[in-house]
Amino acid sequence: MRLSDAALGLVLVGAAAAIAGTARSFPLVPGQAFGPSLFPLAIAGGFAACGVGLILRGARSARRRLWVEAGPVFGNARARLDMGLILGAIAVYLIAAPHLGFVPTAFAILLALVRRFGASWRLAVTVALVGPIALHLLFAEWLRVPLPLGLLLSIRY
Amino acid sequence: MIEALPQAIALVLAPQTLLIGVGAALFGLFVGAMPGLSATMAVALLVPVSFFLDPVSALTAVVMTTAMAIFAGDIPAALMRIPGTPASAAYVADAFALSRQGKAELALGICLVASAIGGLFGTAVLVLLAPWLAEFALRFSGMEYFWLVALGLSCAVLVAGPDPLKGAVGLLVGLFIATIGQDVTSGFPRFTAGIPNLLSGVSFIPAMVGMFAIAEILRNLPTIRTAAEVQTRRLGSILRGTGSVLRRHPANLVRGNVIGTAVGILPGAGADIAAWISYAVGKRFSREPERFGNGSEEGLVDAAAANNAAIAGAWVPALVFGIPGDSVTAIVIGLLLMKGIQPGPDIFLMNPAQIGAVFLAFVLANLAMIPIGLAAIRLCAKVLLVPRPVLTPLILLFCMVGSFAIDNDSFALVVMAAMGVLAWAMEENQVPIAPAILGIVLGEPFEKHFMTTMMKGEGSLAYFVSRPIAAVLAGITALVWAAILWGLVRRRPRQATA
Repeated sequence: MRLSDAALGLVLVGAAAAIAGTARSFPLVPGQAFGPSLFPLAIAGGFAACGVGLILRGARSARRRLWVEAGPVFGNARARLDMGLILGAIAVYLIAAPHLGFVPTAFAILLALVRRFGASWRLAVTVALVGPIALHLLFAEWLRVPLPLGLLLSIRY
Repeated sequence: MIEALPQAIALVLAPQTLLIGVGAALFGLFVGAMPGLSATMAVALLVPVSFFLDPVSALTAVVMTTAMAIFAGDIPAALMRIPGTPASAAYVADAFALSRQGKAELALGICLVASAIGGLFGTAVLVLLAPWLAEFALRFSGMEYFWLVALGLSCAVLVAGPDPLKGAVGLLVGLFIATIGQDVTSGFPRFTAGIPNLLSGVSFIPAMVGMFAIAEILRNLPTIRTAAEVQTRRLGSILRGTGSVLRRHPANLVRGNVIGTAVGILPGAGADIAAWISYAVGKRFSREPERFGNGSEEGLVDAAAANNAAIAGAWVPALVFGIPGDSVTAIVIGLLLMKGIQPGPDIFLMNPAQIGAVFLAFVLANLAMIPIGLAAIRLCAKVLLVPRPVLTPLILLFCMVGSFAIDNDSFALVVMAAMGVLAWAMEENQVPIAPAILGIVLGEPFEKHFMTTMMKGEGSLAYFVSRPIAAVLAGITALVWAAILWGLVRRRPRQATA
C-alpha cells in the first residue's frame, strides 16, 4: 500500500494530533514546568512539521498521483492472501499453541504455508515434520525455553 | 587494554566460543547467500539463541555472522545477478558481467579477498580508535551525551537515503516507539493503551525480529514462487588472478577500506551505503569509468572492500558511546543491555578482556573468511537451490519461537507482528528503517539525558551549551541539520514524487 506525499502527510498530521492529545493528559512532575509529556509533545511537533512538509510537496508536485496505490503486495491478489496467511499463522499460533502445544501447531502452520507457497505434498510433509522437532530440540531442550507442551504434556509426563 | 590480551585470547579460543563462532559463520554464509535475507536479518534471527550464551560467545557469534553474511551476499550477485544482501547491490552488475564473460572465479576471488582485507582494515581502525576515543569520552557528562546522541540521530537522517524528510519521519517513528512504557523520569505509563506488557516498553528483540525478518518475508511474498536460476557451471580455481588484480588497483583497495570504515562509523549508515558511496567514488576517479556496470574489476575492489570495512567501523561508536553505527550494532546494543552490560567508555575499563575478545573475534572472522568463503563458493550453487517456499515458513516459525524465547511471553509475538507490518509499510512508502532503529535504541538515553540536563539547568536551554565540548557537539549537530535542510530545499519537485 503506497500513499502519495500528501496522503502520507495527512496521516502524519493525524498521528501528531493523536500523540499530542494523549500526551497533554500526562501529569506534571511537582515543582517543575515540564514532565513526561515534554518529549512526546516534541515528537508530535516533529511529525506535524514533516506532515506539513509532505503535504506542501504533494501540492507543489507537477505530476498528479493517486492518493493511495496498491503496491506490489496489495496489488497482487495472491500476495495479498499470502500476507493474510502469514499474519494469520501468527494469530493461529497465539490461540492454538497453549492448547495443542508447540509441535502440533507448528506442524499445521508449516504444512499449510509450505504447500500454499507451491511445494509438493511430500516436501511439505517432510518440512512440517522435521522443522518443529528441530526447533523444539534447539529451544526447548537445549536453551530451556518453556515452549507450550500442550498435547505432548500427557504423552511425556 | 594490552594487559588484558592473554585473557581475551583465552576467552575467544575457549572451545565453546570457537564452536559457536564456526556455527555462526556457516549460518551467516547461508543467510547472506540467500537472496532476500539480509545480514541484519541474520543477526536478528541469531539473537534469540545468543541471548542464552555468555557475552563473549554471543558477540563472537554476531561478528562471525555479519562478516560472513556481507561477503556471502556477493556469491549470488556473481552467479545469479541477485544481491544476497543489500550491501552487494552496488556492484551486482559488474560481478555478474564478469561471470558472463566466463570469469566468475575472478569476480568471486576479488570479492572474497577484498572483503577480507576490508574487514581487517576496519578491525585495525576499531582496535586503534575505540580505546582512544573511550578515554576522551570518560570526561563526558549527561549534557555531552545528549548532544552526542542528538548528533548520531541527526546523522542517521542525513545519510538515510535520498529523501531527508522521510528520513526524519523514520527517526520520529523510532523515537515515538521508544516513549511507549514507563517514562524515564517519573515512571508515568505512556501510550500503553492499558496493556501491562507494554509498561516496560516495546520489547526490543521481538521488535527487531519483526522489523527485519517479518517485514522481509512480507516484502518478498510477490516473488516467492519464482524459482531462482543459478549458474551451475563447475568453477575453477577461485584465487587465480585475484592477486594481480588487487596489485593493479592498490588505490581502489585503500580508498574502499577508508570510505567503508568511515561510513561504518557514521551512525545510521552501514555496509550497503558504504558500498554505494565507495563504488560511486571509484567510478569518478577511474580511468575507465565506462567499464563500471559492465564488469569493472576496479568497482568490485572498491565496493567489496568497503562493505566489509564498514562492519567493524560501525562498532566504534557502538562500543564507545552506545550509539549504533548501523542496524546490526543497534541490535548488538540491545543484546548487551539485556546482558547487563552498558555500552559506553566505562566498558573499556570494566571489561577490557571482553572488549579484547570482540576485537580478536573480528580478526579471526576476517582471516577465516578466505578458507570458509572458498568452501562456501563451491557449495553455494547447491545452497541457492533451497526453495523459498520451504525457507519462508521456517523463518516465520523461527521468528515466532525466537521472539517468545526472550521473555517467555506470548505478547512478544504481537509486538513482532505489529512491528513487522509497520516496517513493511514504512519501506513501501520509502520511509527508511535505519533511522527508526536508531530512534528505538537511542530514544530512552536521549530523553533521559535531555530531562536530566533540563532539570539541572532549571529549564534553561542555554544550559545545554554551557560546557565547551557540548557547545562544539551542538554546533556540529546544527551543521548536520543545515545540510539536511539544504538537501530538502535543493530537491526538485519532480524527484520528490519519484
